[in-house]
Amino acid sequence: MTPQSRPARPGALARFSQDAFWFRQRGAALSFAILLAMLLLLAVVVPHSFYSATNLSNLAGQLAPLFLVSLGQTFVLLGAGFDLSVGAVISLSSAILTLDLAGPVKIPLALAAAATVGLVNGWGCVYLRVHPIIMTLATSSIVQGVALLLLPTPGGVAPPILVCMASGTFLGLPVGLYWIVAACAAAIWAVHATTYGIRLYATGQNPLAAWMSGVQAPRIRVSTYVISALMAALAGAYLTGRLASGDPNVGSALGLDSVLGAALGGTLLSGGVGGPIGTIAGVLIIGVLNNGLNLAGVSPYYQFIVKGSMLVLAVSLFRRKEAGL
Amino acid sequence: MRRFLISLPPAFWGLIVVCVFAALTQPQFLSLPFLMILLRQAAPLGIVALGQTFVVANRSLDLSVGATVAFVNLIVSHAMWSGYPPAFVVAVALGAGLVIGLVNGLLVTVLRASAVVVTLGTAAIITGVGFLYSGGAPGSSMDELVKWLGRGRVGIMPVSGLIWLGFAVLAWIVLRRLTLGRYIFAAGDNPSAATYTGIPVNRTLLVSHVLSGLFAASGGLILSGLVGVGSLNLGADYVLSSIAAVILGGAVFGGGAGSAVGTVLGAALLVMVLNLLTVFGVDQPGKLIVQGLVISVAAIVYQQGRRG
Repeated sequence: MTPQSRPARPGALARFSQDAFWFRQRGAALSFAILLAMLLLLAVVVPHSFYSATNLSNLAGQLAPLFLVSLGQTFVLLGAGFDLSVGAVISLSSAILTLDLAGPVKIPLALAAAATVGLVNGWGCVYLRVHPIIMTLATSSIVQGVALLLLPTPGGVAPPILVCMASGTFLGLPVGLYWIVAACAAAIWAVHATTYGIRLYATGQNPLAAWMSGVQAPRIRVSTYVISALMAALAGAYLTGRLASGDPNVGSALGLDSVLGAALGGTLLSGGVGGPIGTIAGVLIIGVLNNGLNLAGVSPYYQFIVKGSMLVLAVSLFRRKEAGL
Repeated sequence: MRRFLISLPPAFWGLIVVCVFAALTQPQFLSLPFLMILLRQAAPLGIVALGQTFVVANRSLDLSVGATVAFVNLIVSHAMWSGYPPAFVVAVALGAGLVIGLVNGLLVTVLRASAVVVTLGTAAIITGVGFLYSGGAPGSSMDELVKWLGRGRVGIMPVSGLIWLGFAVLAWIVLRRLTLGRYIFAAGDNPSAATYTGIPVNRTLLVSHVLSGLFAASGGLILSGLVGVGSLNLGADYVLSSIAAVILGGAVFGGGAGSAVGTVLGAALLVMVLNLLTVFGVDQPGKLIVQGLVISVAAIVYQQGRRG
C-alpha cells in the first residue's frame, strides 16, 4: 500500500485498516501453503503433463470465469452477504449475448441486466432485510427462468469481438490469463488501496459500528451485490466468447464454485475477514485439484470424494468463534 | 387478532389464493382423486423439508439433502439387497441418513466450519460414494415394501401421505412439545445468549443435523418407492425446493421461527403451484420464474410483517 492510496484524512478507519491487515489475511497464507503443497505433489506425481505449456494455458483458459465470479463473490462475502444468483446471471448474460441483435447493443444490455439483478438482490437483502440466501435463491430462480426464455437450448452466435477476446493467444500468452490478471488486479486495488475497501471491511465486521463511524453501510452492501453480478456477467461474456455460442445453463455449476473459491481462500461467510488475495489461492486450489486429478487418471467417481474431502478439510482449518451458517 | 394473522405462515395465504384461483379456472384440479395424486407427489419433498426445518430454525443449513436422497435411492435399488428382509433394507437406508447427518453435525459443531460449505462438501462425497457403490449403473431391483411405501394406498389415502403426516406430527412434537425444540429455537435465535443461559448449543445443532439427515433419507426412501427404479440424479432439485418450502412455511434464518405445520403447508403450496402451472401448459422457464417470485414475495411480505 503506497502512502498516496491511504484516505486523505488519516483517522480511525485508516488505523483500523493497517492494524487489521495481517489479521484478516491470515487465511490467505494458509491457502497459499495448501496450494504450494499441491503444486509440489503434482511435480512428483505427474511432472511432465501438469507443467507443460499446453496444460497450463488450458488451465488459464478454464479458470478465467471462476476467477471472475469468485472475486465478485468475495466482495459480497466481505460485506457479510451471500450471492447464490451468480450462476444464473452467467447464464442470463450468455443468453443475452447470443440474442438476434446488433453486437454493440448486446454487451451493454447484458451488463445492465446483471446490474439490475445485483440491485434487486441488494435491495432485498439490505433494505427489506430478507436473508441473503433466500433472496438470491429466489432471484436466481427467476433469472434462470428468463435465461431459458431468451435461449431455450444451447446455440446462437456469439459477437465476433468476444470470440476474439476469449480464445487464442495474445503476445504469446493465453487470453484467459489477461482476464485473470486484470480481474485480480482490479479486485485487489479496490479492496486494499481505496477507501471503499476500508469501508467494506468495516461494514462486514460490524454494520452498526460502521454506520456510527459515518460509513454508508447499506449502500456499501448493495454495491457488493452489483459488483458480484457484473463480474458474473463478464464471466458469462468470456464463456460465450470461448464457446463461440450461447448456453442457458452454462453458469449452473459456477454459482456454488464461486463460494468455494472464496471460502477456500480464507474469506469467512460471516463477513469482514479474508479478501481477494486469498480467493486467488482458493480458485487455483480448485483448478489445480480438478486438473491434477484428471491428469493422474483418477476415476471421476473418486474425484467427487477427493474434492468433497478437500473442501471439508480446508474449510475446517479456518475456525470461527461460533458454529452455524 | 393482528398478531394472530401475522403469525400465520406465508404458505397459508398462498394456499388460499392458489385454491381460489384453481376453483375458478380449473375446478377438476381440486377433485379428491387429483388431490390424492398431488399428496403422493408432495410427500417426499414434504418429509425432506420437515428435516430442513430443524436446521434452518437452528441457524444452519443442510445442502446435502439432495445427495442423501440420491444415495438412499442407489442403496435400495441395488441388487445386493434382494436376499435380505425388506425391513432390513429400510433400516440400512435410514441408517445411512443418520450417519450422514451425524457427520454433518460433527463437522459443523466440532470444527465450527461454515454449514454451507461443509454440507456442500459432504454432498460431493456422498455423490461420489453413491457412484462408486452403484458403479455408475443404478440397479432396478426395488423391494415391494419400498414400492408400497411410495405408491401404495390405504383406501383412497396414499401411504406416503400418511407417512408424511406421521413425520409432521413427530416434527411438531420435537419443535413444540420437547425441550429439544426450545433449545433449537433459542440456539437459532441467539447462539451466544443461549450459551450463557446454559443451553448445550453445539449438541442441539448436532441433533438438528442428525434429524435432517434422517428425514432426508426417509424422503429418499419414499421417492425411490414412487419412482420404482434406481436413478443417478434423483432429488437433485430437493436442496433448493426443501429450503423454499421451509421459507414459505414461515421460517427465518436465525429468527428462532419455523414450524412443522408451516413447512407442510409450504411443501404443499410449492407442489400445487408447479402442478397448476403444468395444467396451464407453462413449461420450465415459466415455472422457475413463478417459483422465484413466490419465494421472494413470501419472504419480503413475511419479513415486513415481523418487523411491524
